[in-house]
Amino acid sequence: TALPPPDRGIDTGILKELARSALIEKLNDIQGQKTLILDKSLAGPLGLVTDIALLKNQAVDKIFWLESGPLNVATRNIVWLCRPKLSLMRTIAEQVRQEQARASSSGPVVFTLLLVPRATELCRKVLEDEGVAGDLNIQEYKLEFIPMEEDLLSLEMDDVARDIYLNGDDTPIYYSSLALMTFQRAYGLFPRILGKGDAAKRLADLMWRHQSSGLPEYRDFESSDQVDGLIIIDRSVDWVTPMCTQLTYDGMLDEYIGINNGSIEIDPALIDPPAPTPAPTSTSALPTTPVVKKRKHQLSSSKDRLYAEIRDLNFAVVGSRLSRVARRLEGDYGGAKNLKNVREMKEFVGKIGGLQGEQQNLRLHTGLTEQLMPITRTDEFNKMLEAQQNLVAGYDAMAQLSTIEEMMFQQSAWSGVLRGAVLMSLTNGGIKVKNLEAYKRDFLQVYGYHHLPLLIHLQTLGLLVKSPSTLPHPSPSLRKSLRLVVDDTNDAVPNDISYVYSGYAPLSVRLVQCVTQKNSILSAGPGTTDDPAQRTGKSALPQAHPIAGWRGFEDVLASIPGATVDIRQKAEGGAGVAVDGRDKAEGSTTTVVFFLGGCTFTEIAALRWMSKQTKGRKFLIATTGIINGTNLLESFGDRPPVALS
Amino acid sequence: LEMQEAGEAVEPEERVGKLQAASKAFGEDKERLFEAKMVEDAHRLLSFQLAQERELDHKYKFAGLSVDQFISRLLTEGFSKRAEKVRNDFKVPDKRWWWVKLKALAGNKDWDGLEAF
Repeated sequence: TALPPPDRGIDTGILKELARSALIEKLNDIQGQKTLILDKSLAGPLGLVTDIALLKNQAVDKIFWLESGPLNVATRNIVWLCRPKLSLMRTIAEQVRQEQARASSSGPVVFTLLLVPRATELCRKVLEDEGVAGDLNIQEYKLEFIPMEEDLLSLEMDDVARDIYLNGDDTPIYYSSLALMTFQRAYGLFPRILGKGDAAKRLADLMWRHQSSGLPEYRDFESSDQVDGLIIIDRSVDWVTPMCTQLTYDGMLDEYIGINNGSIEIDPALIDPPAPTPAPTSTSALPTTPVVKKRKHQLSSSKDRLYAEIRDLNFAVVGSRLSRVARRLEGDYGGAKNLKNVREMKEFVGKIGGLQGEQQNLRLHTGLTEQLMPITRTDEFNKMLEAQQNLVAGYDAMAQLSTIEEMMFQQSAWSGVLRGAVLMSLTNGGIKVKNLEAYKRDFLQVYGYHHLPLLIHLQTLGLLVKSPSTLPHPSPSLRKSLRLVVDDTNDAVPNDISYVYSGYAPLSVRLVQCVTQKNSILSAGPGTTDDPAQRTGKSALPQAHPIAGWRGFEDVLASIPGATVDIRQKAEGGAGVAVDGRDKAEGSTTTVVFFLGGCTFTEIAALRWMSKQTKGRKFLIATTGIINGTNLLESFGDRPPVALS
Repeated sequence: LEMQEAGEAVEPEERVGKLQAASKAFGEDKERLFEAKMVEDAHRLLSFQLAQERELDHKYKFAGLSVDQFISRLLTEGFSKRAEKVRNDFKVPDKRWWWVKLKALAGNKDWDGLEAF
């Protein structure tokens, strides 16, 4: 593979191509017209690698959702595409039997099952017990890392944290290991693997097992010359970060509007100029609330340069950035008046297309910002933010608990109130029994007793516990040694990753800095951050130092619960390139950061910011999925109760 | 587990039964006394809500509401005595009670009531 331009990091497009062609191949193997029955949870991820037209080209006649109930199929082939979930296997078995029972005049129907990303033994077993395994052609479709952006890969798996930490089900770790092996096959062996957390350790061990399994697909890996290492961050190492309200534009969108599989559901008027509203013809007393169908819009930095510019900014400065763009656009359009000759006019007309696109993007983001802005002005938002910041700073925890309770009494959204309490428990090593039980009692009475399993699960996970807890509680010392709370954060011109939470630096990303940007933690005196040359960006960026493991931070690492990982991988037979102490001055390398159990948009923003701080190292972010505190907590609870008859 | 089953039960009577079973299961574990009490409360609440529905000739639907939602509903429908009973039965702290009442009165645009408050 050709070396990509040094400043761009590695080309992740290959992975998308891989996912796309694998699907085409699988579908092409099946002769004739086919009906596709799709697992709903796969629709979003699949949409990122393929589209309907492509499927139609593979002789897919119709697509249905995978739901229980009889099928209505006219083709010779039925293809199920789904995650290896047991409940789905039973539905499929039922449908196979129904189709077999239905007398088919046009000959037998061929059943194919594509499991994503793997066919598990358990699934095969269930299908055997159901007596349909022999009638099904069971295959795998290896949908692994999906490039969401050129520096962001995601497995787009749901509820990974619940599976790993609550249910003790390591399947997602296994899938992650396979995806990382595929990654190594494409880009070479990670010269070094570092990580923190017990699950991170299990992942690294699994990768090692694949590596030494002698399987042909894992043999003869060469040491990568594009990637200098993998850093695995286990979500259980840092629960604090997702509990805080994200303050970047992307983070706010995800918290308050919701970003799923890179897409956001919006009012269509934000994309298309609203049609002139017809004057109301009837004067009925009933206020008619028009049901606006939300439209899915994919947020993409390559298609929308404005989005690329603002997605990682602290929300506080998004408004002024947008208005600056608006003024510039106005100026550009205004240029039409001053056109002197035909040549200039031609040039201007050529530009209009681009301007219109930009204007459309501007309308979209201004509209979204207008939706978020009122939220940030509410008392509720600001009180909760203040409580969170005081908690992570270790300031007067009891007062923060009363703030949180007060918000609960006013029936503020349950997830925010619960995130606050979890944050309190995490930063204080638990909550006093009396207070905790009073809190839980109130919580259940305000929001409903159906939340009880969630509270129990949070206790099991160590997220909401009574003090003194048996868990080690490193908060105060970590806060100091890793500078988790930064007072002079500058939201507009960030001088530290803590800008993503206006003062709190995510522990997870600080750990990455321990390995890759030691100086930003160690010598963070005002001298370095206030260097005017650096602020204006005129001075040359410092060269990134090579990865030297956790050296210098052993004590810090030891104080955080969970195993620490540090492995050097060498290509067999010494064929690999020596990477340690890389001395190619012009060379640029990529460090992969893998979040096991999901990461937030703020963590992504922080790593992107870090990519810009040094010369010679880009970060490639990989994750099992993108999460926020609310959907994380929701995933730990049971399904909400059904409505009573 | 019984909690989950209770949540899946569509029939109110069935859910009451499941909650009772869940409370018993928690009660057998000394570490889970708090949870046992909470499920017992959940059971008590649902039973009380069903009883109230019967007493009011099924003109209202209370089953499935949380304690605060229930109180709020009773207050907005003008059943302040019944609301007081829920308050006492479930030992609702004063502060919370006032918040619910305040919101209910404001929701009803009961300005006289608010003034008296």
